Amino acid sequence: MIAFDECSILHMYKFKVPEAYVKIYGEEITFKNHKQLTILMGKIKKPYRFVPGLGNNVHKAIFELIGGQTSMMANVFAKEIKNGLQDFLKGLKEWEEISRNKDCEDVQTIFEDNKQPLKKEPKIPEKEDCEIIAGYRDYEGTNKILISEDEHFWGYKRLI
Amino acid sequence: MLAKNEAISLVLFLGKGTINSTVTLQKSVARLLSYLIPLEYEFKLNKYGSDCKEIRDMSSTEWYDLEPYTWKGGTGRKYQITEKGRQLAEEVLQYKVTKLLTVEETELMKEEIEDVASMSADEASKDEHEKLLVDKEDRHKLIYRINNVHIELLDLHEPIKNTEPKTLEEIDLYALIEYAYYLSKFIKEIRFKGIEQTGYDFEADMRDYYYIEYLETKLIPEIKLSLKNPDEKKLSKLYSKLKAFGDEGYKFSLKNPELMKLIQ
Repeated sequence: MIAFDECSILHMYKFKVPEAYVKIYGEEITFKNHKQLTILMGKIKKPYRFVPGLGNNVHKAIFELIGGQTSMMANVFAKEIKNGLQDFLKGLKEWEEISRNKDCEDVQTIFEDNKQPLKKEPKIPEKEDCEIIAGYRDYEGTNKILISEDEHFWGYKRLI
Repeated sequence: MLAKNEAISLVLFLGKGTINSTVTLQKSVARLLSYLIPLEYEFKLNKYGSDCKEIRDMSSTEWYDLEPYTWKGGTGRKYQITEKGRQLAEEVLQYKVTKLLTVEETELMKEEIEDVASMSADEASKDEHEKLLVDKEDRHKLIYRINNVHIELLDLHEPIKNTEPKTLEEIDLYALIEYAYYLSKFIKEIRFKGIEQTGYDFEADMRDYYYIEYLETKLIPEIKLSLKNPDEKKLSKLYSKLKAFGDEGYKFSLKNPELMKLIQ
């Protein structure tokens, strides 16, 4: 059973650049790990995702994709990416959904009691991350794998 | 985009079922462009204002009837909606108009079309001329409008120019301001460049007039209201509409590979 966090799903998106911006950005823009995620998706029959999604993941993904490059009408460009990402998420009909579990204090406590020296602040997974762990823990299934590039999950992978 | 039968049915429906002249019908349909509703009909400019040959030449259909009449020695045409036209108009309102317009815009549009549809040909023509400022005598008003719109949008654009939006709502708001600002710049510096010297513009792309009127009377007030409390859904709708109106053949479009050169 393979579940993806929202950031990983968003990284599967390929943005077709509007003609007005092609001379600046090229015809398409993808995330750094887009290719690897696409290859992985090709091998999975039934992928899982966590719901509901979070707006700040989309926000983060937009500016990650732009990558610090500037142009005229930069805000319009960001809006076009936003539209594309949101349409992409709406189009994920074949994915099974796992509800995030808001009742995750027990998960938060485990991380607090086992703090690791991460580079990223805060040093323990945030509440939204704990909701994913709690939701996945409670979901029926075996051999559960979580795909994420969030340091909060990587830093605590043995504990998870 | 509203198809031809949809546009005619809609204005007849909003005009209480009947419109008594071809000119009034044309002006009523053209009024949809004031809300940036894209139409299958193409409007040009004649001495009476926006003109569409296809509407002038149309015949009765399953959605509306034409009845010629004589009046004061001349002939006129009366347009009457059919039951099928009513049903079509209701569907257009429910499924197409609500996607294009905000709730407030929809109510304004209905009132405005009802008003125009009840006017005589002369009244409707005069009303439109005053609204769009197409006459040579109104050039100074048009120039004032263009300059005013551009400066208002410049003032809105300046604070956000080099600021990264922090939320999804801000992305929509900033994009709307930015698109509108550069559109106004394009209309001012390219489309209407030297307009003080030109005659009545029979070759006009009517979208220039409708865009600048929309920016002044509808969009800028809406943006100002949104500054304190941006509504993502509403802003997204306004942005999509602003963009879509220029999608077919208008130079200010994200589909134009030379757009960045045009706006520098």
